[in-house]
Amino acid sequence: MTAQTTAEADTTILRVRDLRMHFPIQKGFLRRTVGWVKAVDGVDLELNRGQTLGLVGESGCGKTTTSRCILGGYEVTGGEILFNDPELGWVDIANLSKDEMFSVRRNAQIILQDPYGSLNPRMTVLDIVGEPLLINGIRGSEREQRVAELLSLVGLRAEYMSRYPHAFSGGQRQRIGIARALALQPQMVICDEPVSALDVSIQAQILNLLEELQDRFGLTYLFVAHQLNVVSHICDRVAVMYVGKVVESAPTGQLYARPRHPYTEALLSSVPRPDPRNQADEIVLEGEVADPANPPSGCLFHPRCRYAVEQCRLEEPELRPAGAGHFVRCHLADDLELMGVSAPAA
Amino acid sequence: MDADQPLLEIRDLRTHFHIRQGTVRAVDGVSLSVFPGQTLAIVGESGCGKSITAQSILRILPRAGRIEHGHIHLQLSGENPGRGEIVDLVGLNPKGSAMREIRGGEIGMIFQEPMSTFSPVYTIGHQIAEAARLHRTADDIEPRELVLDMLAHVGFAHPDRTWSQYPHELSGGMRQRAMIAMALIGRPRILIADEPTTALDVTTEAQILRLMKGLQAEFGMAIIFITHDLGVVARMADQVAVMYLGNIVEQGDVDTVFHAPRHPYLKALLRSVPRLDPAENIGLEPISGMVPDPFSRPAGCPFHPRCPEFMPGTCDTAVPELLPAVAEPGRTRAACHLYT
Repeated sequence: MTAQTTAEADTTILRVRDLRMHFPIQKGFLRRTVGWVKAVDGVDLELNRGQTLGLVGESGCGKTTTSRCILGGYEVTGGEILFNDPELGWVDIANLSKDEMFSVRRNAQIILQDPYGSLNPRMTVLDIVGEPLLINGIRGSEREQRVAELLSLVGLRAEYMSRYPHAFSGGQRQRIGIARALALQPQMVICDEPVSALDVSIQAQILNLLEELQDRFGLTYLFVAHQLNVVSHICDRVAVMYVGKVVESAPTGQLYARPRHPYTEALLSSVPRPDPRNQADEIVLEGEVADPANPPSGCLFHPRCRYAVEQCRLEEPELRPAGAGHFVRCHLADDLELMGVSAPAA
Repeated sequence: MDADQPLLEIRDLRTHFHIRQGTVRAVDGVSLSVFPGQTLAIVGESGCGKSITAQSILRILPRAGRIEHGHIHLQLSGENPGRGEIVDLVGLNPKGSAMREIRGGEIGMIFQEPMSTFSPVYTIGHQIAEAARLHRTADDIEPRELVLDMLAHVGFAHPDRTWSQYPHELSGGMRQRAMIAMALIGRPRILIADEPTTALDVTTEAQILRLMKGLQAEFGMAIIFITHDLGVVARMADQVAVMYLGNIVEQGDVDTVFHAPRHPYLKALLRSVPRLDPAENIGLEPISGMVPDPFSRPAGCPFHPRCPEFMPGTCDTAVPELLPAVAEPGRTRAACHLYT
């Protein structure tokens, strides 16, 4: 390896290359495989230490499957998930022994969307937040003290330790989930729609907490979400997914100000903004998201794209560089002048 | 039709829930007017009473809920017996024929989850035709024709095919369209939409919102739009009512509500929404604390424990009224002691 790779090694924590995750469609008594759902089919991501990468897209685009793959939840169909583990160095999560996975799991944690479903109602807060500690051999009063610290870190009182999840509101439960994710002092945390289920005022509290914790511990977040305004607020970089593929990725400011993919443009224009004087002329996409089990030819977005030409129907575009840190999967990226989110005209 | 006359006028509505743990004052003194062809958005966080207000109008409250006080005056349309007459929905039997006539005929409704509106065992066409038979008795057209026409209106490319499909065969957005078709088949003059796009993806949401605006212009109906999303409010509403813990805390036209908010709750709520444009995103100011337990409502102004402008001795003793009493252009009506 060259010197350049070593220098990179310090800043990059996760590098996903051409990740593919296909699920079989099985039919009949013999469960014969009759087709494949290409849930993830070409995802490239790069995550730098201390940064937040947003992974956005609509339901079924494969963003959650991608995050599960990164945590080693599936046996992936293809591609690499390289993780810079502080103890093991660069490892491929797609191809790990049990012991190695144990170490990676300490350093890559997850915060889930549903603050109701993700906490066991029959465990106390101490058991929930302390479970990862127990697994890693921290017991008794040491564990209790550590849980107390974690709770105060996320803005909950240590006295709440012996209570059960039902005694907490949605926002407080999300704080418990965050405390659990941070119990082992991970390097990277995957936040899977962490604020989608919360009211706006509570959502802002949790977003601020996540930012605060990031500053304090130098955490790296992979922020999976569909709320583009939340992503705009919290992410340094954004990757947009459509039917299993990353179609565009760029630094947040650039992506929002000057999107290069027609899907990103449509997505941004669709978001209703909380200002009656600044409503975008929304681009209403015709039709529905393509079926990942039966994708269209060429560019997956072409049936709904208002700029599509013959080439888009025939050839599948590659993800290619389009300016500093900007990548786009579109044949026409260089020719199109797409609309971003502009500041309101005073 | 007289545009100055409200179609629906709610006066001091109080809907309470009597359950074992105590009484929840879910709606506690709400007054609203809905005018022909306009969209009134009722916005607030979970538990503020926005959905209960809608359910009170339709008289479809859960069993524990009861309207304790107030009036809901509805102006009947020409097609009903007693044209132009005003009825008080509070006085009607929720299960009586008059109320059934009004539900679907005068007031249509759509919800967040279309699967709760449709039965899974009948086809879309069958179910909408049933509604047509109930509410379009005066028309001399076959229900099937009415339904196919309405399905085309809400954006189905092949109404014939949709007619014989079952709800589970449609995608989320398409189901929402079918539900809108069912709600509008009786040609109601008011459509109540309770979080109709909350479960949808943003591009599908844009489709449905645009469809609703188009249908509103076409049929001239009023919409009561219930949502927690301030972006949707800004896109859809003419008039806005902001609710907190069962009360309206601020009310006004959409531009004034967003550009000259007066109530500290609304101001704080607007500051806690992340903006889409990264350049506008400086910092979020969350509202401290959380919505209080409904069984222990704070005395005085319900927002006072979380309010940055709390005035001891005033806010925690007296309940503020919505002022000015009569709407003025360029100024919202706010229920806050700062303005009394």
